[in-house]
Amino acid sequence: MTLALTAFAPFSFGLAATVGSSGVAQFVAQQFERGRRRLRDSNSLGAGVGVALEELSDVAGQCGSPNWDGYGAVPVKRETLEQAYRFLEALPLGMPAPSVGAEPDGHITFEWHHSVRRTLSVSVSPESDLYYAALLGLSKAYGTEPFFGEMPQAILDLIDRVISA
Amino acid sequence: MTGKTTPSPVADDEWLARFILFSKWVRANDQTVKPDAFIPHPHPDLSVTRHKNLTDQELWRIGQGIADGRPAKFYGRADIRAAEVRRQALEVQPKPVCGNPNHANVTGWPLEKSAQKSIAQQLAAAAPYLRNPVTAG
Repeated sequence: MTLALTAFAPFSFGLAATVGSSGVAQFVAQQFERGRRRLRDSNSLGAGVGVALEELSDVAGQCGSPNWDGYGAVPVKRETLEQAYRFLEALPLGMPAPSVGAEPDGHITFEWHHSVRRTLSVSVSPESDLYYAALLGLSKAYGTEPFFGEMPQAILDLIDRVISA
Repeated sequence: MTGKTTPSPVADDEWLARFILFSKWVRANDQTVKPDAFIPHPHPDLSVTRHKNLTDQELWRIGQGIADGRPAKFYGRADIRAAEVRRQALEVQPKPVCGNPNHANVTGWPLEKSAQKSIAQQLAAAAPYLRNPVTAG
């Protein structure tokens, strides 16, 4: 986790960076963020997100050069890694962490997987688009959502349907 | 099948191999393949190798050749029937290349990325993963 955080050190996310300018508001936001991080470090989500961050760092290392898949894949861009990091940061507390991967077009993927017929994959693009696809028994769902730092409700609903099976 | 003759059309009951050179294309917990392995890129085609007339050893050797060309570790392969590909309204076109006369392209993919992901997910669900016997340890 240290490696991953070091790699993304120039970026600051979370409430502390977005809440209003007054000193009180900043203090409250900082305390909230500190508490949230402490909570992450002390429960299953924290451990899961830590693993996901390590996986993200690993993907960055393995997919940073052309043809990393042997079929002509494009490298994962720094912008994509930034968006992927923000995506992990946006996961609500209590949510199981996904496994991390990459696609030949250079997108980072996050997967919540219960079985081959109950699974959700979300691709993060450098342009902040989230492409998702899910298999839910005999039905399927797919679509695109813009990502502005908050997890789209459509994706939260699908995660819930996959993990509650 | 040689480079001098027209390759035969791909029959529905033929097996096609997608070689896996990236460890995170395989789920560690159940050794199934992720849809990431079936995303077509460079779009619009997905490269596969027909099993037709090849022994298992020859098939692994072709995959190893691709891995050596990178170079990369050759983890295994995902096998899928041509019929499963066609079930997704895709087509399989024989496309022999140097060193792999059994090479083929899966064509007919939709342009929209999420639609590609949905198809890739269904292909992955129908494609058993086999570990490379040499590197499986």
